[in-house]
Amino acid sequence: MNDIGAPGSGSALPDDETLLADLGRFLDELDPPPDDLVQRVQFALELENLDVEVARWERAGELAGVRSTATGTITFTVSDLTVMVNLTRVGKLHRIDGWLAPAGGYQVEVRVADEGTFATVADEGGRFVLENVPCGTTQILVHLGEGPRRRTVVTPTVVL
Amino acid sequence: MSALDRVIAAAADLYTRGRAAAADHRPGLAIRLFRHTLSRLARAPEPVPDVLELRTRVLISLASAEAEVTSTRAGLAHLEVAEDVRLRLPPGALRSSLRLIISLQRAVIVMRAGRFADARALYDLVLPSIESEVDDGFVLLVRTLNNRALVHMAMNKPDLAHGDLSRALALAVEHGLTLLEAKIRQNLGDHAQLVGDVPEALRNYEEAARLLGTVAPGALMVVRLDQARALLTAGLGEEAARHLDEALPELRANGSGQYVAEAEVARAAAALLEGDFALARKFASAARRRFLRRGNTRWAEIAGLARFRADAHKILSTRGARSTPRLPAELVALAERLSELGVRDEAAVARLLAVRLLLRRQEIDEAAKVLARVPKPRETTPIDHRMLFRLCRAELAVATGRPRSALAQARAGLRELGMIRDRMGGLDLVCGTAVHGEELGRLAMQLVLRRARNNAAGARRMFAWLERTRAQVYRYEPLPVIEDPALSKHITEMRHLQRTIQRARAEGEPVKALEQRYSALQHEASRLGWHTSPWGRPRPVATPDEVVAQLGDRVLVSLVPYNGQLYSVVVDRGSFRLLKLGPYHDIVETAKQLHADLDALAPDHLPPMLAETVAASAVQRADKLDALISASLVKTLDDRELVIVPIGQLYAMPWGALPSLRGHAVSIAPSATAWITAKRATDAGAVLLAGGPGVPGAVGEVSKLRSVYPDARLVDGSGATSSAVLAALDGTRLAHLVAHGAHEPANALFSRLELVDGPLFAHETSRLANPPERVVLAACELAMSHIRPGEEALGFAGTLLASGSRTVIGAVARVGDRAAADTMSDLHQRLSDGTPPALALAEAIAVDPLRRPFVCLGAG
Repeated sequence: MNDIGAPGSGSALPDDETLLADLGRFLDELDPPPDDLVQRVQFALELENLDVEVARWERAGELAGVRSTATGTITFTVSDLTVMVNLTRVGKLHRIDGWLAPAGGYQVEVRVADEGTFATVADEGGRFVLENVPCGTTQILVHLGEGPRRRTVVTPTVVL
Repeated sequence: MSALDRVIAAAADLYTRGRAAAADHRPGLAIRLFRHTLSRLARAPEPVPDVLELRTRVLISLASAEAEVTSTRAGLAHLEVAEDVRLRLPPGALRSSLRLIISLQRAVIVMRAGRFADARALYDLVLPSIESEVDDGFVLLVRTLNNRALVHMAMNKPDLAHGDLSRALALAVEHGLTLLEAKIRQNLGDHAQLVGDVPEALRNYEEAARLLGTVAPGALMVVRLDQARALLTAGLGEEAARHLDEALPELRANGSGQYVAEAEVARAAAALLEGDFALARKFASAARRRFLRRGNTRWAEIAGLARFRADAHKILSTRGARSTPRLPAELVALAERLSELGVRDEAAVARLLAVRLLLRRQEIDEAAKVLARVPKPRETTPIDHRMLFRLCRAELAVATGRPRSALAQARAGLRELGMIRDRMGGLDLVCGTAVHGEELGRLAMQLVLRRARNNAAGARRMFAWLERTRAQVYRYEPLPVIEDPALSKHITEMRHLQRTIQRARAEGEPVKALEQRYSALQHEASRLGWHTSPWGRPRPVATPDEVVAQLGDRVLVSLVPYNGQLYSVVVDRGSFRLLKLGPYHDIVETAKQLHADLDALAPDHLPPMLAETVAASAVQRADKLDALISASLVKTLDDRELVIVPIGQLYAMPWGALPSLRGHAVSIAPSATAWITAKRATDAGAVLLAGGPGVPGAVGEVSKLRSVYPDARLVDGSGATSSAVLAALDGTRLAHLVAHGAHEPANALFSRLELVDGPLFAHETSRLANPPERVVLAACELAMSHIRPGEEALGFAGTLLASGSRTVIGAVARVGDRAAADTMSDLHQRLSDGTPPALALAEAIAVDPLRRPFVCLGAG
């Protein structure tokens, strides 16, 4: 007897739709989507050129081995590029120190939701600094190469 | 019950609620309730004495609330009506006692409006009658004494005020009048502030807050306003701003216009101290409008001064900027109006600001004329006004070609500031005071530096000034601490909470609420630390001769920026010279980048390609800094020890990473005076090895160290609690602490070392009776400092040094677990051979300088 809840079965048990609706309600209550999910998705979709490679966020735990409990650097990788950033809070703003490996003088953009874009160019050693970056939902873009070979790597959005 | 009785009972009930609202600083609500009471009483069928009495009382209370929310005039009008109603009562005790109360209320209202002479005359008139006629358990007498004290204070008669307050306090305590006791405490705090005793002020406010917390929580916000004002005196703008931002929304919600506007004036001052001119102007303008609406001319002019102050400071802090001719003229006119209102100190400030602006405009004669009209400061003149007075006289002296006289003003001003500092309790109050002398010190420095470039005598004088103007917090011999159970309770809770936060973070659970609670506790604990007894006994500033004698063969360099360049005063075998190093901003920016490089390079398991990129960047930046700073310093150094007195951002410099300093003994000291104090080391006591949880390298590190120090006391594993480690630290010769560390940039005293039951805070180490002689902090970041104006640098390591430790070895950046363990093993091998700490550390660092960002603070 596998017809429990089947439409018209006359069972006293709730039907599938009711069950699913209940389940949905439970999920909404117990594990709601993050408040900023919609904003984050919209922010990510604002990118003009969607032909980009998305880098992976390396969790801090994989790079542990430091005598500190403070969260320090954040690292993102794609196949052939690693982007690492270190944040220093200055009042209500951030200073971002960054490194690109392998090194190269690439263009770097930091997008902050509702605050605009902050751009710089890394030095030959792949080192870049951006000062006075506001806090918020943030995404980093690195433009590699020139002309037709130019391509863009983006990081996932993070709230900084 | 008759209809009349019912009306009276209902009205009395409303009246009680109204008074409770008024006592709880909610005058808006109080007015509504009082008006409601009056309309209820109007329904009374006949004007019996009970009704008349109640009407009189309600009108008296309404007058005060209305004066608070609407205007003085509106308040006094209610008193006129009250007087009419009172006269309809039959003659007798009640009628005459109500006469007294009406007079007293009138005194309060004119006092709030700033008409002090009128208020005092009213009080003097009614006090004898109160003592002889009123029998209400001393309530009215205590209240009247308290209010007259306020008038005395406003009229700058602190001794008379203290007399009234002491008598009122004794009566309030004796007769159990808790709410009044709280108010008197609050006023005793104001009194202490008036005579410049900030810790005493904070102690009284804290006591008032404790009493109010139970009986009238609404009044707490007014105490916060007072605390903020005391913190402004102590130079702690950020903390004051936090108190005010906490109080303002509640004051607004309570509809207490006078307090809101006063808090806005204080908030403007806090913003000014933090250099946020736009915000200062915004708050000052809002306050001025509010006072004008309320008809409080006196306070409106004070708020107007705060607004001009923001404008003037913006101009004065911008190089080469000049004001319009109008601004100084407006300030002089404002000064006239303030004088007429009897606001003497503020009138002086308005003129002094005009003087500075006129000097900027090269209108020297006019400036001298305005300055001549400023009276000499009085005993109760606030410290920032005194410093401004000195600054004006010094600037005028410079403008008229009398540099010696300018320096004399600066010297005298800094001496006055030192006397204020000597009375401060708690390390952060001691640190904060310097902000008021910052400009005076800078002016003196520029004068001496101009001449120091030419000759050795000039360089020597320059050095003496550097010692006088920086890192004064390290100049005190700490006094024994009186334990405060409330503070210990807070710190215990913070410890627990910090551990909970870390667990939650590791599990990926939300920590926002926990972090908010933590930060609230941290503020609360800071507050409790402020009103302790004076921090310490001041030691004299070391003279150049003394420094030369103590240095012996060592070389000391004291860094100082001037005109965009970094300079160094070099003291070497009795000679003083000034050395130009390089462009200051370039050096600071490169040092920041190197610091970030070392932070990024710290993890033991960084992917090789990334490590290569970061290391390349670090090498490049270290080379650049070496060329800009150290290369010229080491030319004549040979093997001698170098003592560096850093500045600002360069406190976080990993000196051992600069190539020409590799393997060189370097000690860092906040001042030569601090270094001399640290040098007087003794050599008694035990060795302590302590380890916190979650550090994989700790086990090997500690067992290695045990073979170096076989007699060492070991505190680790589950026994390494904060209290066990703190107790074990007391009186040791050498303490080696292995744990996770975190520097707290905004509140250095709460930088922490993670132990098994949660963190050990810098704040706690400052309370040790016998701080350890030498401390090695084998953790991240704990040699970092938060730098306040006047180069008052403080962090975990700095706190130990200021508390009496001689040498503290710690990291100025993050450090890898294995890198730290290797450094420590190298370091202690050498230390146990008898190598001095600075050299032992230099040799240990030299193996891998970029991953061993340790420095030796204090005596090397």
